[in-house]
Amino acid sequence: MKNAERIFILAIMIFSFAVIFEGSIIPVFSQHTIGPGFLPVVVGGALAVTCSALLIFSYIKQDTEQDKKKFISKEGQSRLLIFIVILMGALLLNGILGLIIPLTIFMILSYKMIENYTWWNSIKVAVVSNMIFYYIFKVWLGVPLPGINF
Amino acid sequence: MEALDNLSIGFVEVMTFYNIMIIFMGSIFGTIVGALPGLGPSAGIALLLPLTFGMPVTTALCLLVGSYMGTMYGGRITAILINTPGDAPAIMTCQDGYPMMTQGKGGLALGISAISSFVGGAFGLIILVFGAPIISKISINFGPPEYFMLMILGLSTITLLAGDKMLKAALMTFFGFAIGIVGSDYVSGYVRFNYHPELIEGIDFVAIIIGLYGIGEVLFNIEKLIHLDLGKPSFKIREFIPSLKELKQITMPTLRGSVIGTMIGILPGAGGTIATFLAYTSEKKASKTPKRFGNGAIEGLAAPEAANNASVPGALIPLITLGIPGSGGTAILLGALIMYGLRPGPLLMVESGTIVWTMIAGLILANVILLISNIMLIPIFINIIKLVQKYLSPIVASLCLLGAYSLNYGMFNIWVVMIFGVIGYGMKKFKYPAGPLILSVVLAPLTENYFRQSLMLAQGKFSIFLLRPISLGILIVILVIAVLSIVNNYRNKAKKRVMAN
Repeated sequence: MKNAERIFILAIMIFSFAVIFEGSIIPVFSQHTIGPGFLPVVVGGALAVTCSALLIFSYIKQDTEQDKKKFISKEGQSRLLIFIVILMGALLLNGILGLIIPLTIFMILSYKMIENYTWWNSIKVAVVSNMIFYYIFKVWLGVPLPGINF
Repeated sequence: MEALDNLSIGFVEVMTFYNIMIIFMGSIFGTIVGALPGLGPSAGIALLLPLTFGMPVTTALCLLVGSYMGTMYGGRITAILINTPGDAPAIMTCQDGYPMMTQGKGGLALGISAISSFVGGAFGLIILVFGAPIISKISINFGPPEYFMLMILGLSTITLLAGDKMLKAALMTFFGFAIGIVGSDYVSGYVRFNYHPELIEGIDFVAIIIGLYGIGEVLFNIEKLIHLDLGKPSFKIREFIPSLKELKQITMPTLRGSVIGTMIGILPGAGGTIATFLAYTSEKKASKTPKRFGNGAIEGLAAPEAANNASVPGALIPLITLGIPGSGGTAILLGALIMYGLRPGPLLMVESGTIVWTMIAGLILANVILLISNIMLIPIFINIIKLVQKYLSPIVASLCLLGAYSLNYGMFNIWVVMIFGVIGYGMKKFKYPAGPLILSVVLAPLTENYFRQSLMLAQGKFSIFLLRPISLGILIVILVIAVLSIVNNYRNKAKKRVMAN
């Protein structure tokens, strides 16, 4: 768990350097006041310092029970991966099938593959839920949801 | 009297069949969302926000505040029934609510918590009705330096009161701030992080919230394959209503919890979670039999529940009068007010008084509706949660993505939701608080604006913050809170070390 958290902090730290860089290429001060680059430099700097402090503490501090735990179990990892892959796949289908149909497919597949429900139950819940969503968003609210586009 | 006159105007606006139905639906929706583990007021309001786009402003606000109040009522349901708080403020409800459940008094615990919640909410609303105009009149004298200091007070309070997670909360505050400053700087015309046309307007905070709470929670539940097992609900109303003796027993704890909840709710950044913790600990300290606490003491259930609901109107006071959100939920409400073209701050009561009073009237109506519905519909809530919980994760994910699409009818926000979903999942796993991140995303542009205006006023001199009495006073408050929090944190750690030895 501890190493995974360190990676999480490092990712934020890289973002903080990007923020500092972004601030430094635009004016930091303007006449009598701050420029558009002032806050990115200050906040990015503070973010980098806090990340460093957390990283240092993670090495100094004694490991807790939480730290000793594995970040994710094998089963959990595979469930999560399947879920994200199905969801990403559905979102990439948006250009061809719109939004409601890919989301229905995503729901059917995730019920079947992750929750192990029967095909009939999966299809029933997915179709009914998305029909309700379609009614709320498209009919009631008038949101221009993308349609089928072959 | 002026407040009552204004409130009556608000009631005239709110008492249409359409508005009453909207408040009813918002309250019920909020109760269900609040009852779902992990989904709290922020998620409840964020999920409803896209639905309000086509509505009149007053109706939209009634829906949102009804849902906000509803989530506070709903958080207690799963806390009592299965020892799983629906949201953070419901954590203390588990302490005595769940033991009551195991003693076969689950229905009574739900009934007591509903009544305490109602009293807490009503107390907070009275303070809101009579206190908000007074605070508004005082705050009209605030200038940019005072506002800047208030923003810093809000951000530092939420960070400093995070206890032993102070450094993590600080990280989230700075991270949120860095996200909040993405986009155009309207004074100089520069665009920060100009890597995509959609970034010119900045990252939509609603997409961030939907990602952090909705998708983040879904990913966590999918990994753990969390399913509730609520069993068969009972339909006997008598089981939910406390006796006169029990009502007498909870009167003072409820009132004390109401006062604590309102006071803490008013403080920017504090919110319901801290209020419930304080109400519970102070009630335990005041009790002659503190050993009963944690084993099904009804006072231990009533006080935090009252504090929780009293914090809602309390948190609305700084939002309405100063434009500063007191919690994550009100941070989203602040965004909603800006989105509807209103200007939260001292002039809100002057420029859009009718809308504000309609919102307060809606909140009062929602509190009454929620008391009745929470007692009458408890078995139905349980059944709905039971039904939804089994199929919850993909339904919430789809709803989140459709909500994100509705923000500006494009795929960009859907990808923002996905990215922040993964970040939210990481935050949940590593126990990083989401509140500071949301608050700073919302407050970042405002803070920058007030800071810039203050320096312009003082011709570039930073001493302006020390030369104005109110600004200096707020700065001293920030420093005092900082010192006290650090000392308190150090003491708690030392105590823990002694206990461990």
